[in-house]
Amino acid sequence: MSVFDTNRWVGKRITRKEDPRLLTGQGRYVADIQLPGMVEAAFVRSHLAHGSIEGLDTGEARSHPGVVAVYTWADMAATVAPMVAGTDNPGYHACPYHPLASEVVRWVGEPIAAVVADDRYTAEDAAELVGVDIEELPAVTGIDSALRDGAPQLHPSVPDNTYTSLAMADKGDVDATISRCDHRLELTLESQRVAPLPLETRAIIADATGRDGEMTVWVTHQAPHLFRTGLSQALGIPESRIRVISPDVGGGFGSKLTVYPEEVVVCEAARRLGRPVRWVSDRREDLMTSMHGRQQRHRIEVGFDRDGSIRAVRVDIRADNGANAPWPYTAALDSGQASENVPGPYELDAYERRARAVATNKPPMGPYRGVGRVMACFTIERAVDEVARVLGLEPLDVRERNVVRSYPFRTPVGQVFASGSSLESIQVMRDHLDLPGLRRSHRDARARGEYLGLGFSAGVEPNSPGPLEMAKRGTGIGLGYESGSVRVEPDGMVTVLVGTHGHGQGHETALGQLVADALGVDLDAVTVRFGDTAVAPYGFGTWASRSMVYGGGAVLQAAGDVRSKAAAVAAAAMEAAPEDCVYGNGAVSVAGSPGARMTLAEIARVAYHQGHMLPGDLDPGLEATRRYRGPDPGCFTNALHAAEVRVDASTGLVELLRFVVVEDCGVMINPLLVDGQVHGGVAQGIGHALLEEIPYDEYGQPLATTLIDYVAPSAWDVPTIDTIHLESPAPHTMGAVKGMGEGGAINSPAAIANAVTDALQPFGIRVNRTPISPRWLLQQIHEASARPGAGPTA
Amino acid sequence: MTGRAGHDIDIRLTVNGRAVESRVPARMLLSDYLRGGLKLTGTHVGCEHGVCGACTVRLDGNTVRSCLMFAVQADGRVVETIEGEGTAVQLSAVQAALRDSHGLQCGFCTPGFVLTIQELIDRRGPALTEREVREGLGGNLCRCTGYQHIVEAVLAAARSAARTARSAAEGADR
Repeated sequence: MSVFDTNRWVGKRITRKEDPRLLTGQGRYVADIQLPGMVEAAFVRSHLAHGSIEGLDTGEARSHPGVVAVYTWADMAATVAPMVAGTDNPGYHACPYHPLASEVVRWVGEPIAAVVADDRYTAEDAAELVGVDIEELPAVTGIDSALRDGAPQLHPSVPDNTYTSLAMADKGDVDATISRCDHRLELTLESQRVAPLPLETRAIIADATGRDGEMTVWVTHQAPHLFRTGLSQALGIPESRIRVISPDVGGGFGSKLTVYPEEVVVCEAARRLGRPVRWVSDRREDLMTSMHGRQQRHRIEVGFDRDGSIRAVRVDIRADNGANAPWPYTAALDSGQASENVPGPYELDAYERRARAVATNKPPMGPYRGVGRVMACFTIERAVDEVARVLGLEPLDVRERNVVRSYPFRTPVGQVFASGSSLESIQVMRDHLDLPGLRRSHRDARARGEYLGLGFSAGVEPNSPGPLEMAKRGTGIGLGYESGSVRVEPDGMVTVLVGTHGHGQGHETALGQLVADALGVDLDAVTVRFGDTAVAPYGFGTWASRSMVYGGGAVLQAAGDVRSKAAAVAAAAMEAAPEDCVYGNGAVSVAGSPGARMTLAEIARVAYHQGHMLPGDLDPGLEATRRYRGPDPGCFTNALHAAEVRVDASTGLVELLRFVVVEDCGVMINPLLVDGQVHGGVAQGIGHALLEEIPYDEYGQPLATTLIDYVAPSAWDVPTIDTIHLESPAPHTMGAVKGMGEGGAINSPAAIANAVTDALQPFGIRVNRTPISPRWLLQQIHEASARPGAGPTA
Repeated sequence: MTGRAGHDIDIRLTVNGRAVESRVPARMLLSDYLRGGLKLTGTHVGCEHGVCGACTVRLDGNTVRSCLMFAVQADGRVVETIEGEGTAVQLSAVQAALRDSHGLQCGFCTPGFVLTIQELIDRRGPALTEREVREGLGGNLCRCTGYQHIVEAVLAAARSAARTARSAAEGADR
């Protein structure tokens, strides 16, 4: 039996159910909520990257009019436990993450004290009155300074400033394979620190005055149940006595998946004060303290033959993880995930990887859209272009030669691509672009002194990791299933409850489409709810593009159960043999009895209000809850990006002329939403490639703490993105879908770097880093022009 | 709700067509006054330093960033917020175009975009080009959509505004 009863909704470009409230300012975000008696918190933060706290004087702040309480770690230590992100995996060195700094500060912005006052203005006034005496310690502000002999150490439990390191020979013998290859090349590539930067900053309200002492927490978060589990560990409250509500959430991109120090402090303050406490971070705090992403350095070694076949790859990855690790992900996440994804969509004879997570005096790094994958894709895709350059081949041809050809395909690290279209996407792209014509026009442009270039990036977006895959991380919390309930209400309307969380992706619409077709009802009849632990079944929220595979799988299973039960109820009501009752088009008919038919609404009325008509073994009501375990090791969505750029050699500015995406996420539930995810991901990739960076100076001071210094793309910076969809159905998921929220961000930086490298061929400049800032590019152009025999003579 | 520093000042202004009188601390931002004082929480605060545009409102018809103004600076003036635009059951043409083009995702920046777009269309109408739209939206940040669907929505709304104006004019002729 198909998981769907009708095909009216899935696959259609349907506008969103969530839009009317969001368009009219009626969305409700945490900062919009006001509770009686609510007070507000502000934080005193470290102004130094590393130092020992010699004294904290809170006296003046405590006596400031309007101040309700001031807390330091000394005040909280008796009842609050530091968060610890640990793993059972050997060789991982965990460390405590104090909600307020204890004795030592390790990064600029680390919270030291909290002031709670009648309102935020007053709390901020009083925060300035807290006397902070910190004796500065030498700071390590980068991978090299952290790893050099005699470097200052961040944590006693983290030897050599190394949270973890791994070395794996996944497939073949890299040295032996390379020795048999015609060519070998080596590249070092670097990615900066960036901010996920949801438009809604972090925000939380805690109120501990509920029934049975229940604490209710409104927090902008992507995974409310997970937040609850973490908070309960920090506060020592049973998690069932905490209710977490994540209402409308103004974007997450991975940054709202942990339990942050400030959030623990606010909840503890609410418990102690017996009144609601709110904290809404400002943008400066958000840029300084919300998890950063993607700062890594890769060294890749590639063995390849003269026909363009890439045989062997070895990569050595170091991640600048900052001063602590986000619960529950650990500091292994970034570098570990990158090391798994460097092979991309390519068939290799040999692959080896090393990865090292390094502690530095900067804010912790955590998951950000395409965690590990962005830099992995950058590394392999730059390497592929260098292979093409060495051999004088068209880069797209080199991709065509090496890309996976048949499915299922097992990668060197054990990923299994069940279906896909990496090869087909190359042909589609070639046709779409008129590749020879485009290359010719660029050569002509160069002859006129104009620097145009074209770059490609092929990639695979691992998503929706399976239960065993998640368990491998050893964090004690296996995030490998999801919960969903489908309830047909007495009036025939349908309520869907799910443990995933939508914060822009359109889950109210997309999950609604799945259930509407599964039950054969109108989309308007379906309401999808999530984001409240008192309402939704226990689930793990939204990350790794898992929500349509996992949340969708759970609600489709539940809808299937509801259909079966509806048939049983209808059989009783119509006094028909259950085996003759058939569900179709949102109703149950009786085979061989024309006219014997009950709609779902009629069946629901009986199920709830005519319980006496049902046999004893059939419970009244019409609902089901299911847990769905996704396929191991997960789903793999493929994409090919192309960027066309013009580089102004006199300013170093890169202009994006064109951007094309060919992507394949299996069956599309709503192509309109898929396009939106692609566009948004690419825009973030453009920001990563060209604009965004949080640099730190030699003392560990952040140099971008406003949106003036941290430049996010505006409408002016993002070109029209041509999006072409291929659909290779997933053979192993409900509805044949794959996740696709991150691919746009994963491939795009590499495509842009390859395009800029192509444009600047006459200078011989290789773009092996991001961001490709005008200042950096201009410096490269000047240096190249100064080299004897070099310069734009092509 | 905004602290004891400085002194309070009486202000009178018109908000979404309604006369309002308040006593506010001199240092209170207009954005905080609208959100906290008047409970008009549709005006969102994304950066508090005038870059993101989420807090955009119209002051005497011109868009301004309400996080860069004090409430007292709005004394005697006319303020329009997102709550003065269409309603969920009767969206404005701009709001409907954003829905139809999928020009919003998380929705946090959306109220600011709606007001900026409305001003663009009021000023330039159907003559708006894509280039002008992208330039005109340059002061509003969206982190979700990549702007493409927003730009499509603005161009569609500009065209539909022209049609509405034309048919209104034809109606007047008859």
